[in-house]
Amino acid sequence: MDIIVCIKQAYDVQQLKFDPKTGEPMLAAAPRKMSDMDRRALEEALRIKESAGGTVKTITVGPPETRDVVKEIYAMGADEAFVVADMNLDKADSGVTAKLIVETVKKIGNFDLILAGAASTDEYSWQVPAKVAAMLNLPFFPNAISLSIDGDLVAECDLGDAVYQFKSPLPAVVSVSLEINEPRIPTLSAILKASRKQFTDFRIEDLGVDAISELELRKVMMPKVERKNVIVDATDPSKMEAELRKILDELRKENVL
Amino acid sequence: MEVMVYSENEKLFRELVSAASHLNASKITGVVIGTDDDAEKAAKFVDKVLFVDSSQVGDYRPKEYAEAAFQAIKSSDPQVFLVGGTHKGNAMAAMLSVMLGEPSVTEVSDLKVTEEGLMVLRSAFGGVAIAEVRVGRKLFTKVASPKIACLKPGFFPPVLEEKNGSIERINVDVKATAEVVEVKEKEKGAGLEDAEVVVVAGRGVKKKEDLSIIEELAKSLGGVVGVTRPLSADLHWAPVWVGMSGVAVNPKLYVGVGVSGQIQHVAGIRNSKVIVAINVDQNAPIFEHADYGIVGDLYQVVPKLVEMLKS
Repeated sequence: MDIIVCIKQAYDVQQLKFDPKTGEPMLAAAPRKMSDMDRRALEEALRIKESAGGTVKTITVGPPETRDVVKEIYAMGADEAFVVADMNLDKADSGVTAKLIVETVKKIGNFDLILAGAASTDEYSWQVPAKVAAMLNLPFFPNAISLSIDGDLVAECDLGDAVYQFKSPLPAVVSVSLEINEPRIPTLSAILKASRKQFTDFRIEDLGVDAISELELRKVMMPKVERKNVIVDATDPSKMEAELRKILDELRKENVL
Repeated sequence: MEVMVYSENEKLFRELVSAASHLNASKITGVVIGTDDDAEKAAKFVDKVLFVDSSQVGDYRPKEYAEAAFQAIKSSDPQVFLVGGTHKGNAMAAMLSVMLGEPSVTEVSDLKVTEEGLMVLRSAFGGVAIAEVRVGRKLFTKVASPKIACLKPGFFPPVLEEKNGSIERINVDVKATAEVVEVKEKEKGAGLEDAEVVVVAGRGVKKKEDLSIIEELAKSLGGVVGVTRPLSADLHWAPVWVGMSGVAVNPKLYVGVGVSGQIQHVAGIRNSKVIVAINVDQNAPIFEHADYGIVGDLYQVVPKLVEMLKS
């Protein structure tokens, strides 16, 4: 099984700070990390390789700082990493990202399966894996919670209202959910070795893609939901009832009880 | 302007019709891939239904359904296509976007058409922020080439019956590549999306049996119980969780019990009218997002609250 995994180095939204004056996110100072679901896609690919043999190659598309993710990709055990880096790709929409991934897939050549996270932890568009599949005219299965390969691909996908079990010939594209596995933590020696491994570093020009996004980000702001932040201390058992009564009285005034 | 709508979910379908009216659509067309019965139900809410009999395409698979929708669109001329933002809708919309050569945008909570084109608000950075996005560089130029927007559930009031739309049966020719082996309907997530009161258990709840005290509280408030991601995904105490990656809720009253307030969870409860948090740790981030906070041991506080609510 030759597997290609799409991996985004996403903003770590947990650590994202907002400018208190403008309400805009301070992206220049925001740290990045491997997107949670993509990490599970890589883990799943490595597990398939460990049981069935084959190769695991990865594709990462993004601004230049996303090259940092390659070390972790190698430390987890991937065979070969491909990166498409450009300053302007921070604003790439799902269509542009998918086109660049598809052109990189074509450079790689043979593959049986493409895996990716169902959505990235910062963008949450749920679009890129499906677009990659459509551009390659391959079947696509979203939000897989388990995968097996028995000649054909068998994917169990959580589609919200029901869990669907799909059976499909390969090649195919599957996006994976957070639930599919618990990813490995690379060892220190694997991390040290990984930093010396080479990777293929493409530019947009190398791939001949029109990388102009159709989606244009105009403004980003903190959602303005003012909360009252009335806090009572109910840790002292003798005062608990009185404190709780204050809250219940307020909730009655709010007309929600 | 013609606006087309599609969702496999009946309520969300009616929300999309509401959003289409909000865009001042002169004609609202619904795409239905399903049974005659489904088409007749949908026709009560739109001017016209493009009906693809599901016997021609089978059970849901993103590629096959996107192809069916692609063929159905060609017999009409929508400028905007609104899709219900479920896993099924998002995947189909993405593939359709490629087939049409038009952009798709997801996680949309509001939208309008201006001189510049279709403008939407969508959640950004995992739900911690909101982004304003212009969809498409060019304005409506080609026939039957709509811009695609996937709407999050719960942002437009579902329309009530008021129309008697026509039904046009569309024959599609879809090549099946994948097979649906089994469809396991999920236990209903206790109607979390529609509940007026939601009580959510977090990691502060130590054992699965202890959920009974959370259920007691929900019962005395007339609400339903939800859990956070770790309790569902890691411990399997419930089939679904409340949060950005699970079910987003918009109740009148949200009560988080032993919920720390991880940002992904907060993003999924942001549209609650009143937020109450109960947590033993006074520094828990949930308190920043709460209208009312109770610092205390949930095992003491919750039974006391139940007792007080009963009397």
